[in-house]
Formats: sequence, C-alpha cells, structure tokens
Amino acid sequence: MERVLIKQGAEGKLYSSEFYGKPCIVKERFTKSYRHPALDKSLTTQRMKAEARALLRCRMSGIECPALYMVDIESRCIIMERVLNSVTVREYTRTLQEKDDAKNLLSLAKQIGEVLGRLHSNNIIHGDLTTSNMLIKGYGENSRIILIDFGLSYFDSVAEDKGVDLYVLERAFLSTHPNTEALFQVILDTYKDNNKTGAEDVMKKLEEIRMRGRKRTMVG
Amino acid sequence: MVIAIGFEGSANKLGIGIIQDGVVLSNPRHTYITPPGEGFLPRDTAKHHREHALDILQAALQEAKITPEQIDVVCYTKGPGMGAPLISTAVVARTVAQLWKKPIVAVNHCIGHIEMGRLITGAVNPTVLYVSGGNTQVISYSEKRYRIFGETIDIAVGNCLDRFARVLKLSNDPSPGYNIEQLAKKGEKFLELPYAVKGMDVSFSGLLSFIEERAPVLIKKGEYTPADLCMSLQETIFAMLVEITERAMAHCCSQEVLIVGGVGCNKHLQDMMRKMAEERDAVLYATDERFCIDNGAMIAQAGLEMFKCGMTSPLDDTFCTQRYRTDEVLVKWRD
Amino acid sequence: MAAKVIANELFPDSTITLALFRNVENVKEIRQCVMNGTFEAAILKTSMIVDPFQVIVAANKAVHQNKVGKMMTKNVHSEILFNLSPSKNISDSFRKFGAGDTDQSVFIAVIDDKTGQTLQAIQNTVKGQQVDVDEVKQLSDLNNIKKIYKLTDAELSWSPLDALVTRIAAKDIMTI
Repeated sequence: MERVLIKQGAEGKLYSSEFYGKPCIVKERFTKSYRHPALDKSLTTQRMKAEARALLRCRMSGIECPALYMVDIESRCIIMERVLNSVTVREYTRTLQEKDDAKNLLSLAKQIGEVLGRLHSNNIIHGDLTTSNMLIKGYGENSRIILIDFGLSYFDSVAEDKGVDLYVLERAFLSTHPNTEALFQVILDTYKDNNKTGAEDVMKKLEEIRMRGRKRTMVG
Repeated sequence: MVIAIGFEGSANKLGIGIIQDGVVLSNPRHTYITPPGEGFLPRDTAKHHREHALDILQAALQEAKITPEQIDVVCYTKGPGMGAPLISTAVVARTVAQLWKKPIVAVNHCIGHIEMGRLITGAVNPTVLYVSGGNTQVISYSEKRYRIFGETIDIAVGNCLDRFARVLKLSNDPSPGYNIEQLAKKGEKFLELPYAVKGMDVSFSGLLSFIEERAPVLIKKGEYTPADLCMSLQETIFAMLVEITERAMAHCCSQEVLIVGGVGCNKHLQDMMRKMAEERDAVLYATDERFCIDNGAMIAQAGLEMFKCGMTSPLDDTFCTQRYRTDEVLVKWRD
Repeated sequence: MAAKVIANELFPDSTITLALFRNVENVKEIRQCVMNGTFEAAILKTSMIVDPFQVIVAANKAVHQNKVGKMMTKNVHSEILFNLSPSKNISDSFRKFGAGDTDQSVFIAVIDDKTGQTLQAIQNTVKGQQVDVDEVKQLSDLNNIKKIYKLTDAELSWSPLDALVTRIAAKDIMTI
C-alpha cells in the first residue's frame, strides 16, 4: 500500500493512499515512549476504538463523516475514506474572512451550529472540536460539513461534557479566527435549535466553565 | 545595576529573595508543613508567614550582603493565591517599601515562575508548563501576553497529588509530592486510571475521585501496594500533562519546553517531558527545587523586568487578589 | 467475463479473488464442495451484497484477523461470511450471508488462489453464467439489507455501501 505523508501531528501521522481503489486516509498513531507501555497501549487502543465507534454512530445519526474501511489495532492504524474536494473549515473561514463574505460566514456558522446540535442531541461528544477537525465540501449554499478526527470522542448524555465540547471549540475558534465573537454566537444559537431538549443545560454549563477559567482560585 | 527584593507567600511557602541584574544574591525560604493527612488552611498559613517574615528578611539581606539602601525596588506577589497568606506577605513588603522609601511592583505569581525559569535556564521562547499545587497551565508567549493554551478545567495537578498523599497518610515533609515521587519509584504494578485530556485541557477531579475511592480497598485486598498506586498516578497524570504540552508545541511550532512550578521538581515528569521533546527534536528546560518551588527571587526577577519598563504601583494599588490570570498582565519587557 | 484477482493492500503476497455467477442451477452442489473440502471458498448470497467493495472489506479484515490470530471462525473463508454479517452469532451469519440452496446466483470470494486452481475448479463446477462482479449491484435486495443491517434512513440516503463497510470495519468494536 503506497502512502504519501500529508500531516504529522502530535498524535501520529496521516497518510494519503488508496484502499482497493478507494481514496483513503491512513491514520497511524505513534507509540509514545514517554508513556508507561501499558498506558500507551491502552490509550492508543481506546482512542482507535473511540474513533471507529464515533464514525459509525455519527453516520447512523445523520452526521456526515468519513466511511470507515479498516481498524488495525496491532499496527495502530485506522483506514478511512479520504473526503475529496474538501477543505478544512479553518481554511474556508479564513478565505471567507479575507473576502469579507459576511453572508457565507453567517451561513457557515449556522451549518456548524446545526451539525453540533445534532451531534450532541445524539449524545456524541467529539472531544476535540476545532475548525481543523471539520471539513467543508462545496461552497456557500451548496456546502456540507463533514466532521473528522474522533480520537478523543465518547458517548455521554451529561450536559457538562457537551459544555466542555463547545468550550474547547470556542477557545479554538476565537484564537484561530480573531474577531469572530458574533459569529460564534450564531453557532450557539443554531445549536440551540438543533438540540432542543438539551441545549439549555448545556449553555448553563458552558457559562459555568467560562467563569471557572476567569475565576479559578489559583493558589500556589 | 538594579537590585530587587521579592516577597512571596501565596501558599504555604514564605520566600524572600534578592536579585541583582540576573544574579540571585539570596533566596531563603520557609515552608509551613502540616501533619500527615492534613492540608494547610489560610489562617494558619498566614500566621506562619507572619511568624517567619522578619527572620527570612534578615537572612535574605545578610546572605546577599546587601543593605536596604542598596535596594532599588520592592516586589511582592499580588496574586493569585490564598487571601490571608498573600496579604500577610504583602503587608511586610509594603512596610519595608515605605520604611526604605523604595518603589513597589505588584507581581503575578505565575509570571514570577516563568521569568525565573527563563533566567535560570536561558530558554528563549519556550512553551511553558506551569504545574503546582494551585495551578496547571500550558503557556506560550505571544504579542505581549503569556497566553494560556491549555489548563486544568478543575483542580491543579499538585492539588491532586497532595490530596492523594493525604489518602495514603504520607508525610508532608518536605512536600507531599516529593514523597509520592519517592514511593512511586518502588511501584511495579500499573493500575489503569481514568485519563482525561479534553482538547488542549486536562481534568483531574474524576481521576482523583476514582483513586481516592479505590485506593484503600485495593491496598487492603493486597492487590496493589501504595507504591504501585503512586507510580500509576504519576504515570497517568504526567502523561496527560506531556500530551497537552506536546499539542501546544505542535500548534505553536515550538522547539523549547520549560517546566516551572513546584510539581516541576519531579524528576519523573522531567524525564517524560524530555523524552517527548527529544522525539520532536526539541529541548527541555527545567530548574531544581530552589526555583521550581515558590520562592522570593522569582518575584524579584519578574518585578525587576517590570520595574525596568516603568510598571511600578502606587501604594494604593498594592492590594492582593486571589484570582489573577496569567494572561491579564501586559508583558512589556518582551517583544 | 473474467473474475477479479486483487492483491491484498496490507499483505502484498496475498490475493483476493472475486467472481459472480448468475442463472446458477446447482448452488447446493457448490456448497457441498466447500463443505467436503473439494475447494475452499466463500459462497455468498448475492442479495446481501451492494457492491464488490463490501466483500473486499470483509475479506481484507478476514485475512488480517487470520494473520494476527484473532479469527472467530475456523477458516479465513468462513470468516468472510462472519465479517459481512452484523450479527455476532456465527450460525446466523452463515445462514443469512451464505448462498442458499435455492438461490440462482452466487458471489464467490477466494483467498490466496495463487495458481488460479480454485477458481478453475469452481468454474468447472458451477452450472451457470459467469458475469462481471459489478453486476452484483443489480441483485441486491436493499430492503432486506436495510432490515438486517439496521441501516438508518440517513445512512441509506447518503450511501448504503459506505454504511455497510463502516459497520463491517467497526463490528468487533461496537454492538448496535
């Protein structure tokens, strides 16, 4: 299987390849020598399984994500569909900001809110929401969001965890895309419409978590 | 030739140190140690600081062979920290500043750690892991602020260690964390604990509840020794810290990592961080217990930088605050 | 119409051979050949297959599990049947995904038929017409597939194939 390295992050390497004729991504997780071997094996296996489960569960819940082709625990590799003709929401947002395309930025924010609302109403916690972990296919009106990178995901109904999920995105979003506070609010508003039963509690938790940061008793 | 004196007492360590142009002339310290199984409370800690302040001050001046007239600026910890101890230390600083007729600089405790770390190790622009009993943050400098990239969303890692030490009734002398570190060296059997990294942040309270509940039972049943549990706890929480640090480094494309704060004394944490750094062709910088643990010289060092930029405080502004975010300070002295 | 011989992506010396036969009169006989060891192959029910890729993913997994010693069934071919099925029950998997005696088409998968002998033997045995493997798409019973795999409407609207391969790949990791 010929692979081309496309990204090397802290977690592992991402390769572009073909799986029996289908364009694919191979995600190979590193062994981390600083970890206790039992912890490393356990964590890696856990994350791979979490990713596989999340991909299946998202798909079943109507949230677009890559198809899963193979889970190779022994080699620490996951092989999944390579989504063609897409860019990360991070790049897309930058492009729209550069063009001052307020209309499509608004539309994008609504789409993000919708996907996240659906994600959480299905009790899927992504665990690492950033604009680099969302792909967008198409442009403007005809675009669709595809979620990726579920290595830290898990299933839970607890509002706190969903609040943390949104908090992580908020911090990542605002630090990567300056002056987008209003846009992020649109994401949250649309989220509320798409997670009707749970949104209120999640918003309360989000506020609590934000406050915790500012008012943490930092001693010593 | 600027000489600064720094007063630190935000937790259970009272430290008064003197720095002259990047050289530590003296740095005496006294720690309030409680009996095993007990943590330290604000009122008693403040009392301890009041009792030892003058002795430490005298020691600082004598060791440095400096007279009050030679001092250019008085620096003290404004926060963050525990209210009563902070205030009792600040009172001493304010008093000597008025007595000796010197300007005062109010310093952020975390920035004290960072600036001391940079001074002692020579690290230029590292990703900083600041870990202590009260703080757990991953910090990176950007545009005049020490930005917090990742942090704990509940308790600090040092707090987690300290509380577990209480469960095991380990001695608090010299510090609970130190005793966990020593005991962990004898650990053999690894217990899997909840590992909670959430994006760039970490969470320790779940892990702590888990191990607090199970430890007595596991030890009683003979399934795990206290050493095994200490080892397992360290392996897990340190791996979490190394992971978020690595993520920040990857994000900031940084080739240097600096560990500061009391938990930074832990050699095992340093080893783990070094391994991670080496795999990324990066360098680890760490200090020893003189500077990792809260001390007065670090406050003097940060204060000195601030002083040189004209960041002094009028006496009316020299209050203390329990909550003081690292990113609130304008870091004028760096580009 | 030739069969498809594909090199395994992970184990380059290994091969997966696929073949499709329609208007088959003797499925029972073909199955018996496998049972008595005349040749080794997976004889699959065409109505449960939407695309040859579905079988490839199941076969790829079977070969891998064999290599790491984690198979749930006796041999790599029965493992393909088991992998295709959403069920953890082996007999149920064989029943639902193995070709039935009264079926009129069969989809064949053979692992490591290096010399082509197995394929030859199968071709000699089958009383039917060999066609292009892609024609299996015409034979899928989507309603039944939806029921057995418990596919949601969202999944069906995007791509049944993607939904199926995801389930096959994640089967041992999650129960639906």
